[in-house]
Formats: sequence, structure tokens, C-alpha cells
Amino acid sequence: MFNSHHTQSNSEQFVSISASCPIVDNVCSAGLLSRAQVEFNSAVRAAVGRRNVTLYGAAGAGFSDFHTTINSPKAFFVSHYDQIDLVACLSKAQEFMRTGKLAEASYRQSVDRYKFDKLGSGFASYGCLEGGYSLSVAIATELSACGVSEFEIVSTRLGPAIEYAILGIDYHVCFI
Amino acid sequence: MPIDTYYHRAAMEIPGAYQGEGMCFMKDVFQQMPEGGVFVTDDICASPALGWIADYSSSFPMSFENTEGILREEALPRELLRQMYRSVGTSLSAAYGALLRIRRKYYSE
Repeated sequence: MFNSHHTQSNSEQFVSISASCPIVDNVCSAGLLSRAQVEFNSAVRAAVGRRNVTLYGAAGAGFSDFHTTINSPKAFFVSHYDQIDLVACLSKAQEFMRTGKLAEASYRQSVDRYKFDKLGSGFASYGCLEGGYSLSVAIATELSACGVSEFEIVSTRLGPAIEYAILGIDYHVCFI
Repeated sequence: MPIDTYYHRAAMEIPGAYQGEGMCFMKDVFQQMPEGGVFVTDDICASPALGWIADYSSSFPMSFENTEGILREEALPRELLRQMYRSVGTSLSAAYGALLRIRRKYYSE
């Protein structure tokens, strides 16, 4: 994809990279990652090619960079989740997304702080793993930014997982 | 289906442990990977608690002894890298979480 536009100007090149995946537009318009960040991620994704299964180290709630950079349909997110009741946390995130609660004033501060943190650096600070509530907000914010409207929680041998669809593609992410 | 991609960025102390015993999981991932599998990593190690940051890209275990296959680093498009380096400058702090390297598994040279 990148090479086919090699003779175009830089800005045209970046536009064509971004256009290859509508997820990047959702992530940018949600204010989670900058255009420059997703363009870089998209170029990496184009370079690595189609992937099937990813092991994502120090993943946190990094759905937006996962989908813009790798975007495999199956992934294992590994982080210091051990201090968190993941099922309760995922259920809370599910509730946030179903009810639209994160748009309410009482939650705006948490969401805005998370977005500000992520937009500034391209990654979220370790703080989002310090408690179940923070992680629930982060997961709901990230998935919504990727265009996910709802997800299912499933139990696997390795840990809880979630299943959702983006643009007609099914994804399965297991938390370890 | 085997894991064909390992990915991390802004992974705090993980790159600093590339040469340590604790990173044997990367070797396991490598061994299970099919040919064409990739490691996509940000190799800058940061320890906010200790207040230090360092680039460990040269410590990445490119060859795994007694295992099948090799890893070969792939270059990202030059113009893209130029643009990224222009935005992060020479600051490791700015590069942390931003610059990624791609290393792909092959069975033979």
C-alpha cells in the first residue's frame, strides 16, 4: 500500500495510508491518538502485513494503538491485571458502553484525563491499571474510539476475553 | 492457530530485560512463531520510578541460540522515519512509545 504511492508527496502519501483503514479516522476524531500517530501506526501495519494472532505485552487498555498498528482478529493482552477483578472491570466497561454513561458530566473528567494522557504521548500511563474503575473507563473509551458499540465477555482457559466487531470483522481479545 | 505477532510499546522496563533470564518468554514466542512472524517493539526502556530512560534496541535478541530460524530487522519507509524523527528529535523521552521496530522471522538466510 505504501510503496504504491511512493511517488506522491508526503501529505498525499499519509492520506492514502490512513484511508486504508477507517478505524484510524474513528480513533482520530475521538481524540485518542493524533493524526501523525495513527499515520505512523498505519505505516507499520502496512509493513507487517496481515496478522492472525498477537501477543501484546504491557497492553493495558491499548485497543486504539493495537487496531491501528497490528489489527489481528485475535490477541492476548498481557499486563499487570493481577490486582484487578477483570470480569467485574469488563462488566463495568460493558455497562458504560451500553448506557452511554461516559458522556455524563460525572464521568467526563476521567475520560478527558485519559484521552489527554493518551493523545499527548500515544500511550496511556500506568495509572489506568491502578484500579478497576480506571481500567473500565479506559477500555470503554478505547473501544468506543475504535468504533465498537458493544462487546461480549467470554470465559477462556487463560482468562476472561471479549468479543466484538469492527466494520464487520470479528475480534477476540483475551486478557492475561 | 500459533501466535504470529509479538507487540509492545511504552513497555516501561521490558526492553531493559531483553538480555535477562526473564525474557525467555520471547524465545518461546519465537520458537512457536511460523515463518513470517514478526516482533513489533518499541525498544526504549523507561523507569519513571528511578527517573531514567535508555534505548535497548541493540540488545534485542536478534538470534536465538539453538532455536530454529532467525530474526531480520525490516526498515520502515525512509520518509516516514524521517518525519517521525523530526517530530521526536533526539529526545529518548519523546521517542518512548513512538518509534517501533519490525523484526521478522525467517527459517534461513
